[in-house]
Amino acid sequence: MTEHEWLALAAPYALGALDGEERAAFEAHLAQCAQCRAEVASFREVAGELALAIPAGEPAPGLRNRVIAEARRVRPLASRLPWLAAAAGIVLAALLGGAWWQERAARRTLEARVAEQSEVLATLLAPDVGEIGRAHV
Amino acid sequence: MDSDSSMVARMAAGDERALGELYDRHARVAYALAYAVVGERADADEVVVDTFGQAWRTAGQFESGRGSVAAWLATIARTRALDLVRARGRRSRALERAAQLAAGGVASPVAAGEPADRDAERAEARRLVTRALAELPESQRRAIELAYFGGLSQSEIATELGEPLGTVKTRIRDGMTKLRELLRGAT
Repeated sequence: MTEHEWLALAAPYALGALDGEERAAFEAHLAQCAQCRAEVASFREVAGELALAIPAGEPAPGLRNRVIAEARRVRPLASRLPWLAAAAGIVLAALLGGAWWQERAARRTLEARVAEQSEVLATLLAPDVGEIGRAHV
Repeated sequence: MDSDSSMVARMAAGDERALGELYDRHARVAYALAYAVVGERADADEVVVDTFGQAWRTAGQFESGRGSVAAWLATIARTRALDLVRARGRRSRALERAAQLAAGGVASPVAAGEPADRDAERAEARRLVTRALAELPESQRRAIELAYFGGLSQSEIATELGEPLGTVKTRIRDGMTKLRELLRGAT
């Protein structure tokens, strides 16, 4: 198909009027043709405006509240990300906190051990040490 | 006033007021589109709820570089409306109207009885589109309506109207090209 022939499919594609096979072929082409994508986008704007000409009146008065009420039940997909990030933050904080706690506990054990050893050393090196000290002399 | 795309961005962040504002601006057109397809008020209302529900859920996927919010909403509304008609095993209103030759399509009763639009910008857009459609030959307008509101493919339209496929293709392409000229040239 020539470039010109592909471009001719942009209008029916934007209207949703291509038959299955033709649509699939055109979509494959669209993936690699910026010119056709721009053409489709511009025809889609035109298609989107067609409804403006339809005399149809107003949607039911309570509809706006229904739309908002349903939105309250479902978070938008994108806004789940900040939630995820927040949840990840909490988990990370918990992990870090745990690590800090463990590290602190280990340090305390060490400090206690050092203190113990120092005491032992102090006892050993004390002048009035008794038998052990004398044994080494 | 915020732009449509900034409202969609606020929706993606979970701002329900932005959804309300988007609804105030676009619900009426979504409803008109839905009504052209489904042909019943209650069903058109359902389509509007579905449309804004889907817009709310997928707001984060909207890319402003790929088209306007209005075109994005119209695509959602049209798809939802056609889904509903098919689920009910019915033909769209646009198809029913096309079957009656005298009716002249869904957009043809040129919006004379329309209530005045509060939004001047929207009223102007409505006037432009109505005038542009009125300038198309009826055969082109009908083919476009059968595709967009009727959900028919070009070959289905050819069958529906009893015309050669090549003729239908030419009508759709020429009609859309002319509409684009009229709408873009005028703004």
